[in-house]
Amino acid sequence: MEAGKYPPPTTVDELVVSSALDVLPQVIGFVRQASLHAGLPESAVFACELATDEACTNIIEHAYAGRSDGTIRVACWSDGDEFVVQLHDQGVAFDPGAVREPPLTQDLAARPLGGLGIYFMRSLMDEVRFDFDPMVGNTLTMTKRI
Amino acid sequence: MCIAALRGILPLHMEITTDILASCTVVHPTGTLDRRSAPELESALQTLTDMGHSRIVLDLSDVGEMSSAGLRVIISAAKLLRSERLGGDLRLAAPSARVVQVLDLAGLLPVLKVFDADEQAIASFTEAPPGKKLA
Repeated sequence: MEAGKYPPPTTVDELVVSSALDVLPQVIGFVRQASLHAGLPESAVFACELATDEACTNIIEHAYAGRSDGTIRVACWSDGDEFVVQLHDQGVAFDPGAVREPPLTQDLAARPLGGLGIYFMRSLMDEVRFDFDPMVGNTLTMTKRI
Repeated sequence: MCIAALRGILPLHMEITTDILASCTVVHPTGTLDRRSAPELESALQTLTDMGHSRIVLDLSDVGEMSSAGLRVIISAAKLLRSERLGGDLRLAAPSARVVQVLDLAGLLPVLKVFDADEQAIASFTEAPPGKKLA
């Protein structure tokens, strides 16, 4: 969604937090309030919350490699019939293509432990887009249709 | 039994209590099971496994939310407990609707044994002795 990179400037809710795991409840609460305000039904609110949890955790653990002195900017806005959650960081760029979708096999022994976070984000949201710019940083834009 | 020893070495994001019964051990975490608290549950389950407890009921009645970090702990513990060496199982009890949604999203509902109440999960260990059949 191209519009995801250009939010309407007057209707954006924004939160800036440090890259520490303890910010997770604050970030998820922020997205919850914004999605409720946008009129999303509870099932979609839940999807946005969980996708944000996974995205934020990935940024802290992978982009910032566990460093808590980084910054994460979270922005939410409605655009027509879409609700957008955007997370921006300046950590190490992430290649989503390098993460294979985990096999959801019924053979538990064959189940890998990783890869579920990205899979959740893609399953829960209608669109997930990663943008990387060496000057600006990393931008993850997740869209949920209202 | 409360795993109080964990409090001294980890920041506490989750209260975890443990009841050792004749047929199994019930682990009861309280709070959100996310990347912050998952290591605490992982440590508790590992401690119990190291002590020889191979039949474990994870009572999720007081876990409101769970992310993939929580799922990783559950998958890892279930794989270990079902292994040839331990021949046990990890069974889930009383998950909230949201936790069921997460389990479903990961395709785990047909893989794990999930019960509506902890009494049912406990009784399942009495009814079916642990062993390869459980896997």
